[in-house]
Amino acid sequence: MNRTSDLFDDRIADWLEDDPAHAPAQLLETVLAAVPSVPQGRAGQAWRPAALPRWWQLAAAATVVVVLGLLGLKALTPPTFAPSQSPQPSLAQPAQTSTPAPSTAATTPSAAPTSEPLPDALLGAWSHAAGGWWWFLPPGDPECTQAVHTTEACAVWNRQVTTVEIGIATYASDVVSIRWRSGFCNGVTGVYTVELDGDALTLLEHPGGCEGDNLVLTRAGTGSAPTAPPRPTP
Amino acid sequence: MQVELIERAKRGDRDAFASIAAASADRCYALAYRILRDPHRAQDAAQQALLGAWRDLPTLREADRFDAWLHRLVVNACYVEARTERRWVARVRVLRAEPETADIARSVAARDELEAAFRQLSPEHRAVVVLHHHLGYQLTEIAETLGIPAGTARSRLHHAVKQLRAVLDSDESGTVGERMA
Repeated sequence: MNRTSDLFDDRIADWLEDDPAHAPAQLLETVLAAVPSVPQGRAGQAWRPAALPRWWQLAAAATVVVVLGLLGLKALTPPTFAPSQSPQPSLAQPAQTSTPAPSTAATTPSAAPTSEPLPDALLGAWSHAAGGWWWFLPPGDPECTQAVHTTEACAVWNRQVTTVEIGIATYASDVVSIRWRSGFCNGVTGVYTVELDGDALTLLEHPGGCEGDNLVLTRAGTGSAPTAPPRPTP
Repeated sequence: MQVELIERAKRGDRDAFASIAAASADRCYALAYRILRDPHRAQDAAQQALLGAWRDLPTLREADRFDAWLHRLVVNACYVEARTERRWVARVRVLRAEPETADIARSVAARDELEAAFRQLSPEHRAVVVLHHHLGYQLTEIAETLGIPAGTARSRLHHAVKQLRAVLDSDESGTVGERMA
């Protein structure tokens, strides 16, 4: 850094130094007065419905049971595609040009999913332009179960400058939500709109998340491909 | 910050948190003020950050990382506050007494220029400048604190300083031009 830059840096630092250093007394008073009315979250859980009335919690639980039951019934019922109908291509079912069109039997789900699964096209390893790796791992992956105690899908973000971050990943309508459960983002939920174009993946972060910026990633492997980086170690 | 206090606050000890908040309020406000350039917004952001710290403390696994974690909460609260529309925005410039010397007049003018240039930056760019030039954070520390890649931190700092320098240079050349005319 040359002398001009140093002078410029000093000028900014001096200017910032002159700003107020002490908070108004009212700030602390307001915070301490509000603390008793703010419930603390539990470790590993960013939110809990403690503020809701009991009957509300029961109603919500009953609704969840009914919805899950309906989803289960729907999943167990074979789909009835009309001969002329073809499934809409989506991230979850990328257009396949090298394999025959799936038959009705092949499209029968084998299990009743409780949430929309991560698209196959997302699973695997991704490299970040500024260094570091992302992985999207399927439900039941040992990394997910051991590191963050979930049987859901998870995301792993290794910035290479901080502790590896691992979060529970859920997906719906081209939006992936990641509830970070370890590393620096711990406790923060990041919501990203997914834009996938071949091997280029852009995660457009919604406000209030962990990154504060969009992520531009390039496919590095499916997890078993030779180009894939080593598996993440928390 | 004492780890023991943080551990107690994590378990719901309000007195412990009161001690933490008392020790952190000035720092939160100072950081928020430097980013937002407005005392009322800075106070709101600092309050939100401290209440968020109380609410989410149990999710903080490494107590010795409290300071960096709190800084992130403050910066995030500043982002929210900066994007909150206000019905009116007070742009009050304090009128100073007649400066005694030309040096003081130049100094006041320079600070006003820097203030105006800084206000043109986005909250994300302001945060990086403040963390680097006020708190003395290195790029990797900024990246870690803000949860962004180091490359992003570097490019934000570079862009912010370049923009500040451009505004100040153009102002200075304008002033010189006026003097010469």
